[in-house]
Amino acid sequence: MWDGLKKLVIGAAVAAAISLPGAVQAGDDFSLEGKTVTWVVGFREGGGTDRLTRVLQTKMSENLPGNPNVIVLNKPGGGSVTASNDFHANAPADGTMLIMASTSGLLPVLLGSKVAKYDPNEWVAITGFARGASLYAISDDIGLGGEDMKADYEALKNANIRFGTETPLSAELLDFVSMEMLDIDANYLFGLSSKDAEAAFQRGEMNMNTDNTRSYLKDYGEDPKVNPVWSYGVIDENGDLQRDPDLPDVPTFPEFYQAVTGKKPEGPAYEMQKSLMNAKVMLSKAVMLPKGTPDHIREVYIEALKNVTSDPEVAAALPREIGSMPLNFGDDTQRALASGTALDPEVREWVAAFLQERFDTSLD
Amino acid sequence: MSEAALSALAQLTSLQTMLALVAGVVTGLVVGILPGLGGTAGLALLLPLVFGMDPNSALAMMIGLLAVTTTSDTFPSVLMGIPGTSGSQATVLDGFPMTKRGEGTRALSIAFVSSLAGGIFGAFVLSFAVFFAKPIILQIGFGEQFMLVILALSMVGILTGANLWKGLASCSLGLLLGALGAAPLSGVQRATFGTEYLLDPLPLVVIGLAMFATPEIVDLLRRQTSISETGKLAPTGWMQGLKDWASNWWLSLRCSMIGSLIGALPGLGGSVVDWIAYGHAVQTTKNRESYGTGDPRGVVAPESANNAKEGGALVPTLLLGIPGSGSMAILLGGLVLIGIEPGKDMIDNNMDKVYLMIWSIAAANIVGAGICFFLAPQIARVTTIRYTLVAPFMIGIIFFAAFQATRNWGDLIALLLLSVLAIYMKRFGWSRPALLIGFVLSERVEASVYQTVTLYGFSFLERPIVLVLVALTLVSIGLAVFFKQSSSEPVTVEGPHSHLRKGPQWIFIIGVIALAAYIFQDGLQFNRLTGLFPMVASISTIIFLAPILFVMLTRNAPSEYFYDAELKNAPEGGRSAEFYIGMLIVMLLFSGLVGFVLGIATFIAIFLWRAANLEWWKAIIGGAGFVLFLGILSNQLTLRYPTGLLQNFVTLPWPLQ
Repeated sequence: MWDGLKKLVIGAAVAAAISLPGAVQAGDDFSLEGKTVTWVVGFREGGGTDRLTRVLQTKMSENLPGNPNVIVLNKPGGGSVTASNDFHANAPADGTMLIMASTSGLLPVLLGSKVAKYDPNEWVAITGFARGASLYAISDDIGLGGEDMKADYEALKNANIRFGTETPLSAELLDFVSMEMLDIDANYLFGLSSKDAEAAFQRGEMNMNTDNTRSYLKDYGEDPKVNPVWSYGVIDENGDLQRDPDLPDVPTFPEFYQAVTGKKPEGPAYEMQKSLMNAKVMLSKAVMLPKGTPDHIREVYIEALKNVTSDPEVAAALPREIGSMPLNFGDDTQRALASGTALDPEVREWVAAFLQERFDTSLD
Repeated sequence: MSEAALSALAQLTSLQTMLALVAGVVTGLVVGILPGLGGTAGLALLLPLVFGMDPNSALAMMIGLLAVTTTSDTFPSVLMGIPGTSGSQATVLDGFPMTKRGEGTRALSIAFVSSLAGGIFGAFVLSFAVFFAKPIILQIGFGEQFMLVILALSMVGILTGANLWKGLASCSLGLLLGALGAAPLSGVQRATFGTEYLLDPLPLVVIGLAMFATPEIVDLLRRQTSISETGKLAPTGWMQGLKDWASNWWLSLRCSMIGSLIGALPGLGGSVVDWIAYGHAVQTTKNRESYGTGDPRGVVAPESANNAKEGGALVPTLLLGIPGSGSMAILLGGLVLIGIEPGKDMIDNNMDKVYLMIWSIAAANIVGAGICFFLAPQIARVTTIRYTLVAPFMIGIIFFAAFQATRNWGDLIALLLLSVLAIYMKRFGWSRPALLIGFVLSERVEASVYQTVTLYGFSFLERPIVLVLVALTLVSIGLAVFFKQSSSEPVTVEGPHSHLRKGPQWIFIIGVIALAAYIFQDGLQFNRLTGLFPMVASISTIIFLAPILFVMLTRNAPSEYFYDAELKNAPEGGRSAEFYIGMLIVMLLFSGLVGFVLGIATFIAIFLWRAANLEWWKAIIGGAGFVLFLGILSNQLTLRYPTGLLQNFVTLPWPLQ
């Protein structure tokens, strides 16, 4: 798999090198003056993806050449699958249409769902918004001390863990796979949207939950009864996993794994875990142009998004939406996308068997 | 407490904040009055404005908007029988018959004063609940939610119509329709009929429009010259409405309590509130046979409840940071966007913001109801216009409204197919409210049964609140059995209950069985998380149909089991329902060719010219006017209408695309 990634990165670098002189020239004449740029959001107004898009939209026009009119088009349906299918098939590659992708649009592709008739790898990545995530629990209920990881691990293995999630194939698959790697089992309860699961956790009917770091800190940052077990960390520009900057004292999953088993995590389960981590954390949201968009337009948008996200007003609003993780742009985003949307056959085989055995759920 | 309350009142009454509130209210009224639009569309309109606004004003504006969409959505539901939002569906049952009697203004007046009372009550409850409600809300676990759903479902008993079995089968059919599309427990798509549209379940608004709006439009086209049978508005008007409300203040208060309670508790969701209130009214009042024929109490109950719900829904939103209803979820999003975050922190440190919200709800309800009162007599005049002039626009509006559900061609097709179902349900005496309640609750039934049993087995029955709910459910079922409605029609050979000419009824029942069988066999291929619920719903549909089938086969005398409205008084000289269904199909096919906007405009123009006998140029102006209306909305709300095949070759200019 890393070979595939390497090829992709080299390919992208070569392509960038070849097109660079031309890009500067073409970039000079490229203008969207008098045009309307449509920014597709695959969800209803008011959700997280919509909000982030609208925060960015306020400063988008002034940072694009020709100051086009920028509108947000909400196309809800199928957890953004409907909008993504349409975008893949019909969006013009002339810089007048872009999409705000999110984890829920990437997962069906990663898992090879039939309903997803699009491949985000063919899209042109501009910016990825990373958003930290952690797994947390009611400490007393499970018997977590928070001092010694090995003792906590024993407690986790013996506890009656109750964990509410939407479906076996939702973004919490990251948590299922991580726990499976450690032989921790839980009583999973399905049919709970993240807000239902959160409510059940507050009632104490569930004793384990996952959420983005920002929400966790807001709801339980001060609460001594609720503590993180591990975070999923963040990948730095060298491709290494680092601790979540907002949870500096919390071990990442691989750290936890190594501390309690004495081994580094590896094998197909860990490849799966990494892909899911890329899809859920590194590409919590991502701005993309349609497949086939010329490089000079890509450069214009990367530049524009860099400016938009460093605008003081937007920069002040961003932490509320995604926390304080660094953004990724261009090739970095494309790399995360490659990992977050594709599986080697052996990894796919492993996860298919896991889902079948544990949840009686088939991948197709 | 009082200090924070007064400081918040001072903040709200500052000129800038008050203006923002009124602007929010006006926007809310406009989007509420347009069927299919509501809080989400309104928020999209406000977002560009609230950026950079001072937080108090932004908050007042957003609350102002969300608090009144359930007030103005009453206009289309009462005057035209079009339930544009889930909160106005039950209002149609009695509001629209009142309008047909020429009492549109009176019905609106009852609705607005009930909305006002409910809204203020909700704000009142909220102001206390923020202090003590948290432990109560945290008591409502999966077992309690499950029993709440069962209690709500039991209230359907009283709305089953003349024949219990048909009512139960209707309700099962609602559960069955709710089983189409993505399964809530697994996300797997089941019974999609091979369409991408059913990646998600069917949208509630489309079901509501199909069940109530289309059958009425077709009926009115066949029978009447204007919506008001007398062609006039009753002169008593809105004063009479105030009196009606005053003599039912206790019902209004009870329904407000129900509304705010259901809004605050997890488990049921806001969309079923108006039906529960309606069921409660029927269960607890005298002379229940007049419900459904234009009884003022049938307007008081749902309208009181659905405005009270919003205050209730703010309780968990503020206390736990978990939105209590769809519009609260939007509000939460909007508030985060402007840097205000409801939750524990706000209760501890920003009590004046909490009170600002409470005062805003109360003020918005007063301003909103005031404006609606003022407009009611004018807008009610639409019911005196010749119906053939109104009908094509109403058809345009219901398709526009349905399209707002997911903004997909599928919405229009689903509306058409479900409309056909509803037209025949009406003709054959199947309860459409029962279907709707089944549909609204289906996802909750499926999820809460599984969750409760998985987590607790049967030990959930040992919990005290569960036991109380079990008792209430038994009472509710008892009331339904005890006060069974009987048909208003005589059971004779000449009447609709005749045993002769059962053919059409056979075709309908066989169609329902075929649907159930299809969904059953589709369910077979899935695991239990996905397949169990649709299979149970199909089997229960067929079980409830069994007694009807038995009577159909064996009985050779008039019976309440038989019903065909066409045997009663087929309108003379009018066209058949099938003619109008065909007309809608042709309109959609044509739209498929040239796009929705041109398709609907052409339809309106032709209809006005041929059916309403207008001069051709007036008819064209009518069609063009609707295009302009759609064009303005598409600009303001960033909508893209369904395109047609030919639009792949020709790019149309605004507003024709």
